[in-house]
Amino acid sequence: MNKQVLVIEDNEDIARLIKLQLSDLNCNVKLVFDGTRGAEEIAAKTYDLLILDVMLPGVDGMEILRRVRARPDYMPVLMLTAKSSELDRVLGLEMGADDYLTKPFSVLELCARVKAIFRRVTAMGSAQASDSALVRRGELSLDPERREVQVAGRSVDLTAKEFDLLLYFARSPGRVHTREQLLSQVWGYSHSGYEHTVNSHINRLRAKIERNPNEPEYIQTVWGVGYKFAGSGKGEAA
Amino acid sequence: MSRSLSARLGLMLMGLFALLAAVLVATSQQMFELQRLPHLAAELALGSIAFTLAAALLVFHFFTRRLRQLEQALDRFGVADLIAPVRLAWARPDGDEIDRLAFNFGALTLRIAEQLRMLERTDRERRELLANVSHDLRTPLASMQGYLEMLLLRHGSLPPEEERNYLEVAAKHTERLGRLVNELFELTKLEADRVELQKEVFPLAELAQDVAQKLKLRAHTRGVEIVTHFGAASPSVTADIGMVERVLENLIDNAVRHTPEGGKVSVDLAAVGERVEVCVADTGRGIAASDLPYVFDRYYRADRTEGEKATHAGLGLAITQRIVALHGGAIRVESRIGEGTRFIFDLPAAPRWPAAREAVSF
Repeated sequence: MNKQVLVIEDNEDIARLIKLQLSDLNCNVKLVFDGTRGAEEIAAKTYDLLILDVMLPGVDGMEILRRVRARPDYMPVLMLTAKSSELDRVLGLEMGADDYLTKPFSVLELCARVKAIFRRVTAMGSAQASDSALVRRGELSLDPERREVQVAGRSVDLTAKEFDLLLYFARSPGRVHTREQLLSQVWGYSHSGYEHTVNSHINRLRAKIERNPNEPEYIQTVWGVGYKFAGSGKGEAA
Repeated sequence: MSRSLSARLGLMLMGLFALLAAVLVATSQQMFELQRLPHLAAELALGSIAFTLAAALLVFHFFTRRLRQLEQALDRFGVADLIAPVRLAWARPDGDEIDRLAFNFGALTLRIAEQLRMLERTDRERRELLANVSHDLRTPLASMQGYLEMLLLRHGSLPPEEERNYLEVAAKHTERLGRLVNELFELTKLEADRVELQKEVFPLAELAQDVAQKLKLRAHTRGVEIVTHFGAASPSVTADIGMVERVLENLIDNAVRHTPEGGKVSVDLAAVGERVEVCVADTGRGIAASDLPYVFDRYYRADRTEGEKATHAGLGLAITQRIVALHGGAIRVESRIGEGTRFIFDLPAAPRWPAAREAVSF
């Protein structure tokens, strides 16, 4: 079945270019050129993907993203922005965009990102049903279903991405991951210029779960290679 | 030394009244001649009016003389396009109100003149940058326009491989244009101080390792090896992680690009007091001593002479320097022709755990 995609972009040339590309990926693409009509469109219908420009006449892209995220169902969003400032990137992703592209972007890159989002949504649907078993490693215990973490019986407050990263680590103890692998596995995309977010998240996780983050027991550095979760996979899953 | 106008006025009036008293004492013998009394009273009244007028004029002249000089000096300052600061010999910070006023005016005009000179210099630099940038923007734009027009004109009559060739050239120049525009935007933002650092405590060695790993493949294809020497004892810093990544990436990438095949780029860290020093060294061709002072200039490019082959915009080191400066650090460069170049910069070291937990809240 063809995917339904909505593109909200005020530059008509760029919008048409996106439509041309996505039609090759078997998508039905609808174009909207201003924020007000875009907001009406997402209120009326559910799409498989929303491609959203940040700067829009009428309702702005961030506001539309906020409204999309307030909906009970999940609609993947790919943000487009002409501002490459880090703040915009972080804001977009922390606010729940699935990915972003800065203008100018290559159409090949756009196609790759769109495919990655579709793959991830499919994978999410199948993963939700299984793999909700509690993960225990040393004094650490993770509940994937309730998204709760405890260290030595004390519950720890983690953000959504921190939890995902810790769960990914804890499920494969002893295995070494490079930063690029972590970004593509946990965040679901790989983008030059955003890799440091992995370092940031590892730091924060260590500050929250390690006794002494300078000498981490759980998330360890393998010099010259990457990062690993301590242990050799003997940890018990209950 | 009287330090206020009222004290000076008091002194002057005391002097004048003493003079008046002396005149009165000298004429006092005549006061007792009764028949002369009405005449004397009239003389006294006229005398005191004349005296008061003369005294007021004298005092007024004395006090306004310096104000007049100050006013004339300020007029001259305005006429001379605000570049020659006001300097009055009698103006001093420990004098009376008018002395201090003139002194402050002098300091103020000096500052205005200095700032004006600075603005003129910045403006000149900006014009030069704009001229350089528009040249470098125009070059890829001209290629793009040329090849695309050619494709439109000869559409249908060109062999497919030639058509593809033209398109590839246009695409390559688009990419170059995009990179230059991005760097310009980044530098402008950094220079306008519109950037808020998102500081956090992190182990610098881990980030350096990840950046080195990211660039390893590119280095490998050029036959260059990236060597890092880090261990568990590597120091942590308090800095904006995204920006520090940009600095490391710029320096390591730069080193790789300027190192011939078979060469080496090494990255080292060292804790120096309250700072952590990072050194990125290469075994490249080096930078001439005459060029060294300009490497951080906004538009310096070592390989400028290579023309079309020089695909880097040349703003990378200016961006790097600005980021290091925003972190209160400094960057320096050492180089020998034929031996290699070393870039050394420093960042603030993080307080040791557990103090770090309080220093930065997540």
